[in-house]
Amino acid sequence: MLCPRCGKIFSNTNLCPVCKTDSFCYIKTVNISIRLYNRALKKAHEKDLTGAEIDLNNSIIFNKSNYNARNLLGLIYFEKGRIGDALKQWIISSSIFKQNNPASLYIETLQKNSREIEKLNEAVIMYNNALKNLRQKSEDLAIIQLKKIVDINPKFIDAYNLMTICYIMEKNSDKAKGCIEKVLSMDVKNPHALLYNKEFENDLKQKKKDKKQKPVEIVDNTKKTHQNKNYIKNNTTSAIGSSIIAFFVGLVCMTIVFTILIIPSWKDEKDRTIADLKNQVEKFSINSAEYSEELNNIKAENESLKIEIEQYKVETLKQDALNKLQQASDFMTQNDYENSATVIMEIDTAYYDEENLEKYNSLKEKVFPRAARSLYTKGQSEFISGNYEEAQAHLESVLKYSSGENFVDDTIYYLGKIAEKKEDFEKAKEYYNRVMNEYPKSNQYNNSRNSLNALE
Amino acid sequence: MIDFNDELKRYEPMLEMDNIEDSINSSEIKDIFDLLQHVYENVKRNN
Repeated sequence: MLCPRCGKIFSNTNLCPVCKTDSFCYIKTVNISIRLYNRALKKAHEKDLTGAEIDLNNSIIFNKSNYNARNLLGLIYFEKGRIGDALKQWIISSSIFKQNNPASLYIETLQKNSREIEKLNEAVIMYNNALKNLRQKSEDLAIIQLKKIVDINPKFIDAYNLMTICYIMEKNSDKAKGCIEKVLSMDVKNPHALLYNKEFENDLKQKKKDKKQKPVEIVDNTKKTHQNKNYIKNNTTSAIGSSIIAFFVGLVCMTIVFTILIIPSWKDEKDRTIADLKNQVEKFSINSAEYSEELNNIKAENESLKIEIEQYKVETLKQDALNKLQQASDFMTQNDYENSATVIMEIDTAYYDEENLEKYNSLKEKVFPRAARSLYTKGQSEFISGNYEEAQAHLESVLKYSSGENFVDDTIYYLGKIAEKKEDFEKAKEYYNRVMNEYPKSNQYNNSRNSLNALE
Repeated sequence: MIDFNDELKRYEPMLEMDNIEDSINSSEIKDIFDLLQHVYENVKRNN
């Protein structure tokens, strides 16, 4: 017997003495592998890629060195878009059998078209991401990725299958159907696509059943056209009617929502605003009451202060009057009767009590006559000297302080003369008339008359 | 009816080109014959 592994010839046993291979089992497994490969090849021709893939995988399980199976498997993987798996099989195949192995050629071809291969690999990476997104319930993102994948590689069967599921979940039966048809066109017995297709057919059958069970509106065939028109008309009318009804229902619902939810909240807000305003008004009232009390207090204080000020004023004036009395007394003591008289004239006796009034009167009685005498003497002297202005001032003061002295008439006469000198004739006449009227026995009577006649 | 989650479980991630080397190195390439050999040797050892 020839050992199929190491080529040693041996007999009387199935076990090779060199490599210990059981040739019987070995041959059996190799044959099985070859049969599976052949079946896979047939299926591949019939476009049953999934069936071929399964058989080829089994073929490799029976004989790992079946490089032909690996080459074909790689090819099928490549056709289905699984570039990584394809390359893996070809690498292993080329390592098993190096000479004239198509796998080496495939690998070289891939290396030459690296840009294309990179794109295909990107599609695989996106597929894995899409699968992850689907598992994380991000169907929208997954669909976007799957669409990109099939753009890159329109033969990516598993991507189409995944898209089919997503469209089925979105109830987009048209797109799902499109994906199923695409898959079945590339892989006629793809189990996923067949399952989804079966589901669609079941759904269609169910819908047809449901339609059959519905009561038929058209009764008579002869009236079919008319009833069809009526049906369409009724349909349109009922559509409009249902829209109107829906509108009113919506209006009622809105009103209810408004009443239950929105109006109470508005009311609450208004109540809160009213409560706030009330609080503010109360605070304001309290404040204004406080303020008015304060104002009253201030007013009362002001009044009392005014009274106090008045009192102080009175005291001041009283004191001033006393001071002046004292001053006048001092002047008198110094025999300065003129100044004393001047001060006495300034005194307001309203602030004097009885005692001080007596003092004032006593002082006045003493001072005034003496002051009058002194001023008359000066006035006369000035008049004679021709200093009429000074004479007038002195003589007018005499009239203030005098009270029946014997030089009063002279004083008036001199004043008349001064007025005449100053050409104030009316004044002069006044003075002359006064002398004549008040002092008819005066020594200045005749002089006054003559002067008066001269003026007239 | 198709159950999305159940159906999704049947999909496995694919081999990317960057991971081919690791995949080949990590997997011990054996076939049924290796398994039979292994069984045969175990039986022989036990006997």
